Amino acid sequence: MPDIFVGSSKPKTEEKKAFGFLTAFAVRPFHIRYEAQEKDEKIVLFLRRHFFTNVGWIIATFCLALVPIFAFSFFPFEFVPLSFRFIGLIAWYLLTFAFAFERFLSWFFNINIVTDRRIIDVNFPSILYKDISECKLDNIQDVSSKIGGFARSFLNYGDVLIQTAGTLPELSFEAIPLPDKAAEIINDLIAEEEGEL
Amino acid sequence: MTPFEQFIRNLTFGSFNPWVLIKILFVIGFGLYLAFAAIVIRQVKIMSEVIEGLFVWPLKIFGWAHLAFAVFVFFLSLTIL
Repeated sequence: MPDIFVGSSKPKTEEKKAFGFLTAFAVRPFHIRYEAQEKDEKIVLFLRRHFFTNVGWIIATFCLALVPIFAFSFFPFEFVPLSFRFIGLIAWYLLTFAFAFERFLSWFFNINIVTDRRIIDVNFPSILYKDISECKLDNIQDVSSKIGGFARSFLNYGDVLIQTAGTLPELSFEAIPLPDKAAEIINDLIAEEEGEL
Repeated sequence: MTPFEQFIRNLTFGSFNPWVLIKILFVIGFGLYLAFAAIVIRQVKIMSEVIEGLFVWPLKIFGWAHLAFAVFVFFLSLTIL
């Protein structure tokens, strides 16, 4: 007789998920490597902000793309030579594209990684800055998750706050999908780490 | 004629043509934009080195296409304006 009510024998941290171009939550992504990753170190969690956090700039880009259509219909700019109107239009759409591309890159490369030894927060606040902070698992004192607001509750994304010991700054994973699950996995890893010591 | 059109027309006095000034500003702007497009490519490269294994090839293609278009627009502004 098959065992219907027997749970999976695999620990939670052993799950694997498909990894795509826009993946925001992946457990044990096997083909991802962090530049300072040690040989026997394994990435357990790969996190990004939920894709819904991009909706604001996507709508803004759409509105910016429509501006010339409305502008030319209400104000024909007949006193402006045709060549200047044409180049001005191209300049507008280039700037709109630059805005959207920069916002997308910022989302795409703002990554949080949890390995079996440490937590890494990779931030690219703008196209010219890079900020990487990391913390060893044995320096973590508390991990908590927080979901608040309509969109966050509906789509199940929120923040994970990681309190660290000593002078290390507090790490936070902002607007990540499944924050409860992420906090649970980090807590499991900390427990495993403490068990090894 | 609207007040703004009148203002633009009033700027044209003697041999001075305000569109020359606007052309210079456009060319400077597109020159700066070229630098930005080049920085984007470099940043995508640096970012993809921090985390290896991400699907960055679409971003690289976009980055290079963006730079090529910025170069094209820069030369277009020099020729047609």
